[in-house]
Amino acid sequence: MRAELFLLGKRIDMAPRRRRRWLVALIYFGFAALMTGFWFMDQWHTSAAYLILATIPVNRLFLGGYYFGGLIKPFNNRPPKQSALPPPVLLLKLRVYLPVPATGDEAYRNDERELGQRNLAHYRAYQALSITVVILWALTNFKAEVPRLIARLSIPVDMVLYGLVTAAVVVAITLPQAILLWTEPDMEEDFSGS
Amino acid sequence: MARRRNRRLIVVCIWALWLLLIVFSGYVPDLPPHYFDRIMVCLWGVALLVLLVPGIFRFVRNFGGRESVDRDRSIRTLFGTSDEDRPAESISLDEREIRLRNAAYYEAYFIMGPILFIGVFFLIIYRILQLQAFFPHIERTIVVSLYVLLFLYQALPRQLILWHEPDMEEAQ
Repeated sequence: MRAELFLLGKRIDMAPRRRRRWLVALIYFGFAALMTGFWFMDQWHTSAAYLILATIPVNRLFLGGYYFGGLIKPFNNRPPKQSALPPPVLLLKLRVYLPVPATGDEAYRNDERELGQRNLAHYRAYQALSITVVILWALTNFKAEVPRLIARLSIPVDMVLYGLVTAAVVVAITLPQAILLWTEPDMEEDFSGS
Repeated sequence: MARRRNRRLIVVCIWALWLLLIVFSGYVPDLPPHYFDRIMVCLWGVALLVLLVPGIFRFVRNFGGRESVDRDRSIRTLFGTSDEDRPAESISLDEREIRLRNAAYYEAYFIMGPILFIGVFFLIIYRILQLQAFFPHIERTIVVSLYVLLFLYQALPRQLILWHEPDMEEAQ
């Protein structure tokens, strides 16, 4: 896990767990706000796709894991694809930089401890998603078999299902990284402990 | 079941039986409703059996790593797999088993992710392009698809372990 982020030209120390937790809370708050806004805009008709696309910059800039960049090293242990193109103009204007790559394999290669943490985070994320799938299945079954049970909902059950599925995908793409950022102790503590 | 070949055979048999039922019940459009219900009950039975098989036969140990001492073990005793004689510390997962479990979940996450993504992609396209005319039985398809997903989510990590672990003699 990296200890700092570069945002708007500033170096932000992310070694304390408190700050990482704030980042995670802000990201999910942002997703919730986006989802609410999109509901009022077009009832997620086409905007649900944008919500899922929004996870790409979030992972690239803040979380990492499934993309190179962000605080967590790539999960797949592979080097990033080399590109001769300069960084996007938007990122340069916003002065958002990817962390300076370490020499050798350190920028992307996870050691044994990090692999263990990665797998544990996926184990925990899997439990949360399993519960979501159970809820989805129960709702669709109620709708098909016992519709009177969900007839009192003010929103059409199709919309509830659609929103829940979209949220589940957003969470699935970001949750393991968020769990790692949330649970890992302060880095200074870690060093003093060892 | 020390041999990987046998374990893989069991996994394949379970999947074959289960997929056969899914295809039969979910994608036959002209089934009368009560017939569909019976098949769904049958699917539930198969799924429960599949979920319980690793626990009953002790192919894969409890992923939580904890088991209640007061738990009724009559079913397991029936198959000669009672834990009553084992010390409590040997019931919880050791470090290697926890590593194995977490690695299986990591792999399962990467299998389930694209499946979930494809499902949502289909739903989004369905909503945007209004494809009701092309998929008149969409509700039943969604119920069955979610059923597939539910089953996959529950069973996949255990089955990955059964599939990947080498022959026990080899490991020793």
